[in-house]
Amino acid sequence: MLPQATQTHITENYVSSPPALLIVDETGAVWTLGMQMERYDTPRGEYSFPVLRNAVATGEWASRIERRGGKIRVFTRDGWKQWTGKTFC
Amino acid sequence: MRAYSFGGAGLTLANQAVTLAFINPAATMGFEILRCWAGQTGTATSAQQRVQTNTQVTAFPTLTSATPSKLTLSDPTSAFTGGTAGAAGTTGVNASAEGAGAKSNIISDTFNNLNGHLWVPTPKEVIRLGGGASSGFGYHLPVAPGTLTNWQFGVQYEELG
Repeated sequence: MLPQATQTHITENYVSSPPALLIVDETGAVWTLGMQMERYDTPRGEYSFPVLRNAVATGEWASRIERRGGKIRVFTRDGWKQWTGKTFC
Repeated sequence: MRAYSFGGAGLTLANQAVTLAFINPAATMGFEILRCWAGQTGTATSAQQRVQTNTQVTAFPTLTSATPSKLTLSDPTSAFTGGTAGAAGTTGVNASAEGAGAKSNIISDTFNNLNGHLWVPTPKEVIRLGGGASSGFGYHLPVAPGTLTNWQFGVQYEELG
Protein backbone atom coordinates (compact mmCIF):
# COMPACT_ATOMS: atom_id res chain seq x y z
CA MET A 1 0.00 0.00 0.00
CA LEU A 2 1.37 3.38 -1.04
CA PRO A 3 1.50 6.27 1.37
CA GLN A 4 -1.04 8.99 0.75
CA ALA A 5 0.14 11.80 -1.47
CA THR A 6 -1.15 14.43 -3.79
CA GLN A 7 -3.08 12.81 -6.60
CA THR A 8 -1.66 13.48 -10.03
CA HIS A 9 -3.11 13.02 -13.47
CA ILE A 10 -0.82 11.60 -16.12
CA THR A 11 -1.93 12.48 -19.59
CA GLU A 12 -2.81 9.56 -21.82
CA ASN A 13 -0.67 8.59 -24.77
CA TYR A 14 -1.39 10.23 -28.12
CA VAL A 15 -2.72 13.39 -26.49
CA SER A 16 -1.44 16.48 -28.24
CA SER A 17 -1.36 20.13 -27.28
CA PRO A 18 -3.11 21.78 -29.04
CA PRO A 19 -5.96 20.82 -28.75
CA ALA A 20 -5.20 19.83 -25.15
CA LEU A 21 -4.30 22.79 -22.98
CA LEU A 22 -1.59 20.91 -21.08
CA ILE A 23 0.18 17.58 -20.88
CA VAL A 24 1.38 15.98 -17.64
CA ASP A 25 4.16 13.39 -17.81
CA GLU A 26 5.14 10.62 -15.38
CA THR A 27 7.35 12.95 -13.39
CA GLY A 28 4.45 15.30 -12.81
CA ALA A 29 5.92 17.95 -15.10
CA VAL A 30 3.32 20.08 -16.86
CA TRP A 31 3.97 20.82 -20.52
CA THR A 32 2.36 23.79 -22.24
CA LEU A 33 2.89 26.15 -25.15
CA GLY A 34 3.84 29.70 -24.18
CA MET A 35 2.15 32.89 -25.28
CA GLN A 36 4.83 34.35 -27.54
CA MET A 37 4.22 33.69 -31.21
CA GLU A 38 6.81 33.12 -33.87
CA ARG A 39 4.77 33.51 -36.98
CA TYR A 40 7.06 33.07 -39.91
CA ASP A 41 9.87 30.85 -38.69
CA THR A 42 7.60 27.92 -38.07
CA PRO A 43 7.21 24.28 -39.01
CA ARG A 44 5.13 23.64 -42.11
CA GLY A 45 3.29 26.92 -42.11
CA GLU A 46 1.95 26.55 -38.60
CA TYR A 47 2.46 29.03 -35.81
CA SER A 48 5.04 28.06 -33.23
CA PHE A 49 5.37 28.89 -29.58
CA PRO A 50 7.94 28.38 -26.83
CA VAL A 51 7.73 24.96 -25.17
CA LEU A 52 7.29 25.36 -21.43
CA ARG A 53 8.01 22.71 -18.79
CA ASN A 54 6.46 23.64 -15.46
CA ALA A 55 6.06 27.15 -16.91
CA VAL A 56 9.78 27.45 -17.61
CA ALA A 57 10.95 27.84 -21.21
CA THR A 58 12.93 24.85 -22.49
CA GLY A 59 14.46 26.81 -25.35
CA GLU A 60 12.51 24.93 -28.02
CA TRP A 61 9.87 26.50 -30.28
CA ALA A 62 7.23 24.13 -31.53
CA SER A 63 3.75 24.04 -32.99
CA ARG A 64 2.62 21.10 -30.85
CA ILE A 65 3.54 18.95 -27.90
CA GLU A 66 2.62 15.29 -27.89
CA ARG A 67 2.89 12.43 -25.41
CA ARG A 68 3.52 9.16 -27.19
CA GLY A 69 4.94 5.91 -25.85
CA GLY A 70 5.43 7.54 -22.48
CA LYS A 71 7.69 10.17 -24.03
CA ILE A 72 7.20 13.88 -24.57
CA ARG A 73 7.97 15.08 -28.05
CA VAL A 74 7.54 18.38 -29.85
CA PHE A 75 7.14 19.31 -33.50
CA THR A 76 9.69 21.96 -34.40
CA ARG A 77 11.01 23.55 -37.54
CA ASP A 78 13.59 20.77 -37.59
CA GLY A 79 11.01 18.03 -37.21
CA TRP A 80 10.04 15.95 -34.19
CA LYS A 81 12.26 16.16 -31.12
CA GLN A 82 11.98 13.99 -28.01
CA TRP A 83 12.56 14.99 -24.40
CA THR A 84 15.45 13.07 -22.85
CA GLY A 85 14.85 14.26 -19.34
CA LYS A 86 17.22 17.17 -19.73
CA THR A 87 16.83 18.45 -23.25
CA PHE A 88 15.22 17.79 -26.63
CA CYS A 89 17.06 15.90 -29.31
CA MET B 1 2.14 42.99 -33.69
CA ARG B 2 0.07 44.34 -30.81
CA ALA B 3 -1.19 41.25 -29.00
CA TYR B 4 -3.28 41.22 -25.86
CA SER B 5 -4.85 38.66 -23.58
CA PHE B 6 -7.85 38.57 -21.32
CA GLY B 7 -9.51 35.83 -19.30
CA GLY B 8 -10.22 34.58 -15.83
CA ALA B 9 -8.90 32.11 -13.28
CA GLY B 10 -10.43 30.24 -10.40
CA LEU B 11 -13.90 31.17 -11.56
CA THR B 12 -17.21 29.47 -10.82
CA LEU B 13 -19.48 29.12 -13.81
CA ALA B 14 -23.24 29.31 -13.91
CA ASN B 15 -24.93 25.91 -14.23
CA GLN B 16 -25.93 26.48 -17.84
CA ALA B 17 -24.37 27.09 -21.24
CA VAL B 18 -21.73 29.76 -20.62
CA THR B 19 -19.79 32.17 -22.78
CA LEU B 20 -16.37 32.01 -21.17
CA ALA B 21 -14.87 35.00 -22.95
CA PHE B 22 -16.35 37.61 -25.27
CA ILE B 23 -14.78 40.42 -27.30
CA ASN B 24 -16.59 42.86 -29.53
CA PRO B 25 -14.85 44.95 -32.21
CA ALA B 26 -14.67 48.70 -31.71
CA ALA B 27 -15.93 51.08 -34.37
CA THR B 28 -12.48 51.46 -35.91
CA MET B 29 -10.58 48.59 -34.35
CA GLY B 30 -10.98 44.95 -35.21
CA PHE B 31 -9.04 41.92 -34.04
CA GLU B 32 -7.65 38.55 -35.02
CA ILE B 33 -8.00 35.69 -32.56
CA LEU B 34 -4.61 34.12 -31.83
CA ARG B 35 -5.67 31.48 -29.31
CA CYS B 36 -8.41 30.43 -26.92
CA TRP B 37 -7.90 28.17 -23.94
CA ALA B 38 -9.90 26.66 -21.10
CA GLY B 39 -9.19 24.25 -18.27
CA GLN B 40 -10.32 23.45 -14.80
CA THR B 41 -8.99 22.21 -11.48
CA GLY B 42 -12.36 21.70 -9.84
CA THR B 43 -12.47 17.94 -10.33
CA ALA B 44 -10.07 15.08 -10.99
CA THR B 45 -12.81 13.00 -12.60
CA SER B 46 -12.40 12.66 -16.33
CA ALA B 47 -15.24 13.89 -18.51
CA GLN B 48 -15.76 15.20 -22.00
CA GLN B 49 -16.91 18.77 -22.49
CA ARG B 50 -18.26 20.50 -25.60
CA VAL B 51 -16.84 23.86 -26.61
CA GLN B 52 -17.54 26.32 -29.43
CA THR B 53 -16.21 29.48 -30.96
CA ASN B 54 -18.95 31.67 -32.31
CA THR B 55 -20.07 35.15 -33.19
CA GLN B 56 -23.10 36.78 -31.62
CA VAL B 57 -25.18 39.78 -32.57
CA THR B 58 -26.94 42.02 -30.08
CA ALA B 59 -28.24 41.43 -27.48
CA PHE B 60 -24.87 40.31 -26.14
CA PRO B 61 -24.08 38.26 -23.04
CA THR B 62 -23.98 39.71 -19.54
CA LEU B 63 -20.36 39.37 -18.45
CA THR B 64 -17.82 40.09 -15.78
CA SER B 65 -15.54 42.88 -16.94
CA ALA B 66 -12.02 41.74 -17.89
CA THR B 67 -9.35 44.25 -18.88
CA PRO B 68 -6.94 43.01 -21.56
CA SER B 69 -3.28 42.61 -20.63
CA LYS B 70 -0.42 43.52 -22.93
CA LEU B 71 1.80 40.66 -24.06
CA THR B 72 4.56 43.11 -24.93
CA LEU B 73 5.02 45.63 -22.13
CA SER B 74 6.23 48.37 -24.46
CA ASP B 75 2.99 48.24 -26.44
CA PRO B 76 0.25 50.79 -25.83
CA THR B 77 -2.74 49.84 -23.74
CA SER B 78 -5.30 47.89 -25.76
CA ALA B 79 -8.01 49.81 -27.57
CA PHE B 80 -10.42 47.36 -25.94
CA THR B 81 -11.55 47.89 -22.37
CA GLY B 82 -13.28 45.69 -19.87
CA GLY B 83 -17.06 45.74 -20.06
CA THR B 84 -20.07 43.88 -18.71
CA ALA B 85 -22.51 44.23 -21.60
CA GLY B 86 -20.47 42.91 -24.50
CA ALA B 87 -20.67 46.33 -26.16
CA ALA B 88 -18.44 47.42 -29.02
CA GLY B 89 -14.81 47.81 -27.99
CA THR B 90 -15.13 45.78 -24.79
CA THR B 91 -13.99 42.47 -23.37
CA GLY B 92 -15.60 40.34 -20.68
CA VAL B 93 -15.67 36.85 -19.23
CA ASN B 94 -17.86 34.29 -17.48
CA ALA B 95 -21.31 35.19 -18.74
CA SER B 96 -24.13 35.04 -16.22
CA ALA B 97 -26.72 35.37 -19.02
CA GLU B 98 -26.22 34.58 -22.68
CA GLY B 99 -28.24 37.41 -24.17
CA ALA B 100 -30.94 37.08 -26.81
CA GLY B 101 -28.70 37.69 -29.81
CA ALA B 102 -28.31 34.87 -32.25
CA LYS B 103 -25.05 32.95 -32.16
CA SER B 104 -23.33 31.77 -35.32
CA ASN B 105 -21.14 28.82 -34.62
CA ILE B 106 -17.67 28.85 -36.17
CA ILE B 107 -15.97 25.79 -34.69
CA SER B 108 -17.42 23.05 -32.50
CA ASP B 109 -15.09 20.85 -30.55
CA THR B 110 -14.90 18.57 -27.52
CA PHE B 111 -12.20 18.28 -24.92
CA ASN B 112 -11.33 16.21 -21.89
CA ASN B 113 -11.71 18.28 -18.76
CA LEU B 114 -8.48 16.95 -17.28
CA ASN B 115 -6.46 17.94 -20.32
CA GLY B 116 -8.16 21.26 -21.01
CA HIS B 117 -8.73 22.88 -24.39
CA LEU B 118 -6.38 25.00 -26.46
CA TRP B 119 -7.38 26.32 -29.87
CA VAL B 120 -4.58 27.73 -31.98
CA PRO B 121 -5.25 28.46 -35.64
CA THR B 122 -2.91 27.62 -38.41
CA PRO B 123 -2.33 30.70 -40.58
CA LYS B 124 -5.20 30.01 -42.97
CA GLU B 125 -7.82 29.32 -40.33
CA VAL B 126 -7.50 32.51 -38.29
CA ILE B 127 -10.68 34.26 -37.17
CA ARG B 128 -10.85 37.99 -37.86
CA LEU B 129 -13.57 40.48 -37.01
CA GLY B 130 -13.16 43.91 -38.58
CA GLY B 131 -13.73 47.23 -36.91
CA GLY B 132 -17.38 48.24 -36.82
CA ALA B 133 -18.63 44.68 -37.18
CA SER B 134 -22.07 44.08 -35.73
CA SER B 135 -21.02 40.80 -34.13
CA GLY B 136 -18.77 39.97 -31.24
CA PHE B 137 -16.65 36.87 -30.79
CA GLY B 138 -17.43 34.35 -28.06
CA TYR B 139 -15.58 31.36 -26.62
CA HIS B 140 -18.46 29.29 -25.41
CA LEU B 141 -19.41 26.12 -23.52
CA PRO B 142 -22.72 25.13 -25.16
CA VAL B 143 -23.63 22.80 -22.28
CA ALA B 144 -23.00 23.21 -18.58
CA PRO B 145 -19.82 21.45 -17.47
CA GLY B 146 -19.90 18.64 -14.93
CA THR B 147 -17.91 20.72 -12.50
CA LEU B 148 -18.58 24.43 -12.18
CA THR B 149 -15.70 25.51 -9.96
CA ASN B 150 -12.12 26.59 -10.54
CA TRP B 151 -12.19 27.25 -14.26
CA GLN B 152 -9.35 29.01 -16.07
CA PHE B 153 -9.80 30.36 -19.57
CA GLY B 154 -8.97 33.21 -21.87
CA VAL B 155 -8.56 34.62 -25.33
CA GLN B 156 -5.47 36.10 -26.91
CA TYR B 157 -5.95 38.51 -29.81
CA GLU B 158 -4.12 40.89 -32.07
CA GLU B 159 -5.55 44.30 -32.79
CA LEU B 160 -6.36 45.14 -36.39
CA GLY B 161 -6.80 48.86 -36.84
